[in-house]
Amino acid sequence: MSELEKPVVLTRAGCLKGAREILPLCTFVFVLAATFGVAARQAGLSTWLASLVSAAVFAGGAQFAALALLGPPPAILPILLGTLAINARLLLLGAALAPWLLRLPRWQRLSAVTVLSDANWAQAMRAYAAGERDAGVLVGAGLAMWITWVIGTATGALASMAVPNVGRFGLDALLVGFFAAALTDGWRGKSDAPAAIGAAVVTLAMAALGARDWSILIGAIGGAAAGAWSDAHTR
Amino acid sequence: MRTLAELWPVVAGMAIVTYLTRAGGLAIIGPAQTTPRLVRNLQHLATGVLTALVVASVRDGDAAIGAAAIAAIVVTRVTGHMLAAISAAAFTAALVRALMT
Repeated sequence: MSELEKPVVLTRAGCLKGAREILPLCTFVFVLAATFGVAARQAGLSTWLASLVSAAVFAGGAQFAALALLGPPPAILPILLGTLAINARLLLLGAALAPWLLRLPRWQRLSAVTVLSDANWAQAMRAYAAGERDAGVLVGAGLAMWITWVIGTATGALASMAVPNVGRFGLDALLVGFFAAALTDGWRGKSDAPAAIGAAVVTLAMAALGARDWSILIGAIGGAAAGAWSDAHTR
Repeated sequence: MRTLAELWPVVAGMAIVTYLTRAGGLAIIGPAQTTPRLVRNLQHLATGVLTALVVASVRDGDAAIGAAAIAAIVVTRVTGHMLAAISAAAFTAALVRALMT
């Protein structure tokens, strides 16, 4: 039987295997989640509300970005469009899993992607390339990360209550630190410059025009358009 | 303190949008439609979002926030370690504020 013909399953053993293999990475997830918990308290969320956001959304970049737009009043549409823009890459991760997950029953595949993230996707794709056909490795790793993410958020939010003046300790800079680090980490060189410059210019221009709530979203779209335009004109 | 009554549309909306992006890859985009051009454009969108967030945070913050952003960029470039970069951002902001007061 070839690798492609092997039956696709989703078992408890596969889930445990996936959870075991992702555990080392959960340390990083915990610290990042705790950082979100601190930042969420800064934005006025209670410990349980911050934990609820982490449990329901489970998407670090979008959660951090939403904190910047929570107001009051919360800028709901910009937050949702920003969430879509930041998480758009998940469409590609899901598409890459299609040859595997589409061979599962519908309820299983639609449940499996609930905990899809960059890390367990990468781990699952490595396993798939090595001949693994148990989708439990994706689900188990995702569940381990989700549990860690929620506990880490609650821990960070609780810990921040012990610090009366977060600004004095620089904790209000965690958010911008996360964004700047993520931007630099994903930087691919000169080809990213038009998107970054475009986004910066449009973000500042929108704020100058009085559209602060929309400046991030329109700035992001302006940057993406500048990047696409540059691509088209350098080929 | 913010309440769930005030923020539930945000929480529910974000959860739904995020789930749709997770499931959408299976439902809408087949691997055959995942072209290099689509991948590039999504990458540009990610760069645009993160740049806009950094610029808006610095625009709305004080000098310490600007210094923190620079510190995070430098530490990420040097170490490639995100947690080190975030820690450096917090430390730098605290340091700048201590020096300014």
